[in-house]
Amino acid sequence: MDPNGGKARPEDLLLQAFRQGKPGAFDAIVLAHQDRVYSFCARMLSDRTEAMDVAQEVFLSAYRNLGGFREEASLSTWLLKIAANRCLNRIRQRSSLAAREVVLPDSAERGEPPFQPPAPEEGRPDRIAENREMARILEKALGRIDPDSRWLLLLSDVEGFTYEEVAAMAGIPVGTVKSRLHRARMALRKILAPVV
Amino acid sequence: MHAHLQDCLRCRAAKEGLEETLMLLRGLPPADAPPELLDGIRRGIAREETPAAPLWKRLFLPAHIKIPLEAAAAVLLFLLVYNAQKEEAPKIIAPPPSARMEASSTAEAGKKMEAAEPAEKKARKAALPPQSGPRREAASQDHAGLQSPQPASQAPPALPAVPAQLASTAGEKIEPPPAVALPQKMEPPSAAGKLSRVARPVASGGEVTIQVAGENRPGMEERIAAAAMRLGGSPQAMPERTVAPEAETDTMIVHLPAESAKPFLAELSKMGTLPAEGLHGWNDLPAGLSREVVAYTVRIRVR
Repeated sequence: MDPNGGKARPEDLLLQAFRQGKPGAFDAIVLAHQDRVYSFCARMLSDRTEAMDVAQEVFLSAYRNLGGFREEASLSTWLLKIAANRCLNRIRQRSSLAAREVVLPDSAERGEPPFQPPAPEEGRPDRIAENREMARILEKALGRIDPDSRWLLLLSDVEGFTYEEVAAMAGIPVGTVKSRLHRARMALRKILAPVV
Repeated sequence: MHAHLQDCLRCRAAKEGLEETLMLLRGLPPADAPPELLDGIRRGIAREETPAAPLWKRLFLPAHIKIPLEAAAAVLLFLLVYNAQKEEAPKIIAPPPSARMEASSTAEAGKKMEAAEPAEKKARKAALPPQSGPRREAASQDHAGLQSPQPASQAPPALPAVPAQLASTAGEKIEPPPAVALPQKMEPPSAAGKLSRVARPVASGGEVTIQVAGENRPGMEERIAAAAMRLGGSPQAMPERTVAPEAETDTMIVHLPAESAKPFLAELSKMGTLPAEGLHGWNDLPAGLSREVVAYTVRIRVR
């Protein structure tokens, strides 16, 4: 019985088309997921060029293994799991994590006004600019979190996966996920405290 | 917990801070992937789908280009190696510099002798009586145009191979060439293949014919040999008397020091008649085994 009431999801249709060897099917899959995968990689690695390399690797790996994808999880979950593994490998390959850490300068040093959380009037141009600035600051702050906790934070709090899903992806107990997430959030809060 | 949060300002502030952080994280918009990402993925897929050619294909295909090229390269390599080995071989038996210097000094001495010769030749030519006839003309041509003292047409086809010099493999000095064993008997011209006198083969060096009366013929070889030995030379062959079909002609070979060439011819002229053709200028040229030794082929003809 189809859980969607007989209507196949677009993701399933794309997968079906890919398995049938229809031209352009994989392009459509990439277009559907590339922003999410790329964002995740960029936030994990704090480096857009490296993020693009890893995102390419993720999709190439998916292309090679999509035939064996069992659809136990959604395609996006599967892709993000691949991305997380690749990013962690990259981070471990870096000779010195500390050297690559983005040091968040004091807002007072940069002469910038203190960060303001987004207000209801988000559509205003000044608010859009502020939101962009906030995203940049937040991404830099994420770069300072321990990578093993960072990817849990990204999956849970940014991508919206449940604790159980994150635990399944990470292969660790739910309780461990929760404790690590709590520590990561507290660390992030501490980093953002001067500006938030 | 709710009651505690309402009472504890510190915990409430922490909770609010965490909620704020969560709100910020959840509000993070996804970044737009760069357009190059899709292109890069397409290129990567294209690379993966192109199967890597096996080694033999990469080596030999396309056959019409690679096989001729590889064959040419193999031939070129072979020739290079062959030439390199060929060039190295003489170096191995070449004498050391000291021996080479000796050789070069000998060559220089030869050049000096050569330079001294023309003046002597001119004087001798002036002393000779004017001659006529086809043989004389041929000889004149030899002098005028040909560099070689012996006409090419007279070059003996079966001359013994005489090495110019022998390099000692010990590398110390150049040994003088040993006496070459000359053929014991010259073949008389056969009736079928009768050669002209000009083309008649000689063993080496110059050639002179002496005509003697029949009664003087016996013991002629011994007299010639004795004359040669008196002048510091040596008879190389004392062939038995050969009766040619059309003329009684015997041949003997004499080696002489170059300076004894003229006296030897004078001695011969006392023993018999030397035809004009026997007094060619080239007869007394040092055309022997070396510049110091003249080899004469003396033909004894009975009148």
